[in-house]
Amino acid sequence: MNAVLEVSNLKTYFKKNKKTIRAVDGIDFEIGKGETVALVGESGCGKSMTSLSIMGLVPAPAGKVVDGSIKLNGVDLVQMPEKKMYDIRGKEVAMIFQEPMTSLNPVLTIGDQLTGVIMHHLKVNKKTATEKAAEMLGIVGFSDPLKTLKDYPHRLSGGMRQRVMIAMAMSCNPKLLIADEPTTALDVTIQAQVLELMKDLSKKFSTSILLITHDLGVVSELAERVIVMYAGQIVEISDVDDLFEEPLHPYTEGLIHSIPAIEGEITRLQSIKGNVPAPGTVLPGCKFAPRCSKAFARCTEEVPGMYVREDGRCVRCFLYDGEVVE
Amino acid sequence: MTTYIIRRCLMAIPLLFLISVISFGIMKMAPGDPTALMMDPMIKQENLEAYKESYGLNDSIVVQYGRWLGNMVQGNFGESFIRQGVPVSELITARLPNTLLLMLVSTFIAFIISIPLGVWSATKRNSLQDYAITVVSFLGVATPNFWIGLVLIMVLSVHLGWFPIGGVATYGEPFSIWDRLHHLVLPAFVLATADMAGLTRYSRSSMLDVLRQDYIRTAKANGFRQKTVIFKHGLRNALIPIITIFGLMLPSFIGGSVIIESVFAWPGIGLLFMEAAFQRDYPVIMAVVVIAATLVVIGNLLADILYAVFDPRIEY
Ligand SMILES: Nc1ncnc2c1ncn2[C@@H]1O[C@H](COP(=O)(O)OP(=O)(O)OP(=O)(O)O)[C@@H](O)[C@H]1O
Ligand SMILES: [Mg+2]
Repeated sequence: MNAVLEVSNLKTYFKKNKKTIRAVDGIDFEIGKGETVALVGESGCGKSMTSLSIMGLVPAPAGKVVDGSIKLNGVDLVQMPEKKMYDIRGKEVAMIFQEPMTSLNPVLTIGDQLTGVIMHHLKVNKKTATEKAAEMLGIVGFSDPLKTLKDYPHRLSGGMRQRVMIAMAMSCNPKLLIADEPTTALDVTIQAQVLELMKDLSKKFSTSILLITHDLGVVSELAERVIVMYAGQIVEISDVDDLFEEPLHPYTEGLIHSIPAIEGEITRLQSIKGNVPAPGTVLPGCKFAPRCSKAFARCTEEVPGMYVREDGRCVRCFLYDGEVVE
Repeated sequence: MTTYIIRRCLMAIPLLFLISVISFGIMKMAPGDPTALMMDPMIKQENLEAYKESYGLNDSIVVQYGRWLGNMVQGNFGESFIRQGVPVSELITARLPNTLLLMLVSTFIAFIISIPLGVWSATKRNSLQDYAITVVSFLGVATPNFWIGLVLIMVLSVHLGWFPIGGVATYGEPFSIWDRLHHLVLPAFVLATADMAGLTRYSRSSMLDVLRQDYIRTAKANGFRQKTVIFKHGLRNALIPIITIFGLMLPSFIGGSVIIESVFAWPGIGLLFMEAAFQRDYPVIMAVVVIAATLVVIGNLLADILYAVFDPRIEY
């Protein structure tokens, strides 16, 4: 398979006051060329740490990738020296963040920030970089790119800034774009526009996208495949249509039932009972068992492995023990 | 911008007025008056009275202040009581350049040492260097700088003979830049130490704060090297709050220069003020107070303008 990104057995831990917090606790997944994969889960389940691990930006010295590999086109980023990572970040793997209001440098013009990245990675002169920057701003929908290049970020709205962030991320034609809740801070109409833009660009440049979100509406809009994370582990990987039609893991089911339905009769919104286990707690069984309505004896005694079903869907739950192929 | 500057200058007028009223009051409340020092202690009472009368010292404080203010707004600071017949403005123009030079060089030294130290400390947070800088800074905050001045004079000037003991230039020598610098280094450095410690701590925390910002994460995610991240994306942001500190530092700087000028026999307005205060030379005291207050106002205005230069979000 021509996977752009292969993550296997990735473990990213934090050490705080001699306690170990397993922010990412052994996850495996792949992203194909041009594919958009969503990573969903409740707050604190390790989504951002997964993405920062890929970027090699886990906040040191407390946090560290302790095990596993992250292969980008077959090259392991975990083993890569920091010096070489400078050429990967922003070029091979680019990232956009949740907070467009604060993610741009307030004292540098949009032009300085865009051309800085372009000159750094593409090794071109200022003039070529400026042309490229203007072109990118045009692509992300600015009507007067040359004027915008001279503007400071505080003059732009949140949606505009996120467009600038997207232009910046896409300017060196990355193989993988990581978007960590790119639309959470935007209002609904702007959200839709930004998502549309990301969809178009990924098609146009055949960029793979790892989309991190806890908004399942965004997932159904953009993603082809969905990875569901819970407490640092992956509990389900499914194609997006299958996931919404027939969620396998009880946790996924809970997530889907907690989206308010727009059409149809008003039913009571269900939320998943209880809370995510406090980071650092170690349970003898399934981490979701204490909150699971379908839990049985085995769930609290044994840790479930990943079951791969005949149709290729993966789920970490004893309910599917009978259907395993592997 | 221009309207802003004009507005600020106009706003400074009532402030300066208030400062002059308060200083005048405090000065008059202090016991003693210039006659006690100038006159022969055996002088006849009626002669003393006549003298006081001629200088207007017997009028009510309000009248005296009014007279001083009236002259001052016409640019006339009067004549010194002690050095009879010497206009105060002459004393000031002879001394002010020395003080300005000392303060300018001293500010420069304070910034050029403190900011890099603070930034370095921030980027090496919790390292041995960081702790060392922190400890030295705290010692610096706790040590009065006239004491540092005296110690340095004793060690570097008296024992080692590397620097002159005081003054602005070697007496009787023709003017030379080197000689001037040689005299300037020590007092300027000592005056700088007053704010260096605080400034270092402040730069450190400002830089640490900046390094936590989202745009720094963006810069890292774009593959910039640590050096580029700190100097191109971080430093300018970190300097913005430090400018405010520059404005706040000025009064203590001027206060410090009074002490340091005395320690180093540096003939500036600080030393002039010290002498005048001991001799109750009212016109000189008032002139220095007004000038010092004006310097503070100008400094703060300068800080505000720099603010707008460094931070594009601020527009006046
Ligand atoms: N600097 C840190 N020090 C210690 N622990 C941390 C730190 N940052 C994150 N963690 C831990 O890592 C876990 C995963 O955090 P992460 O930011 O990846 O969550 P997330 O899934 O992105 O959540 P959200 O949806 O709120 O962004 C958290 O539970 C937290 O306890
Ligand atoms: Mg997050």
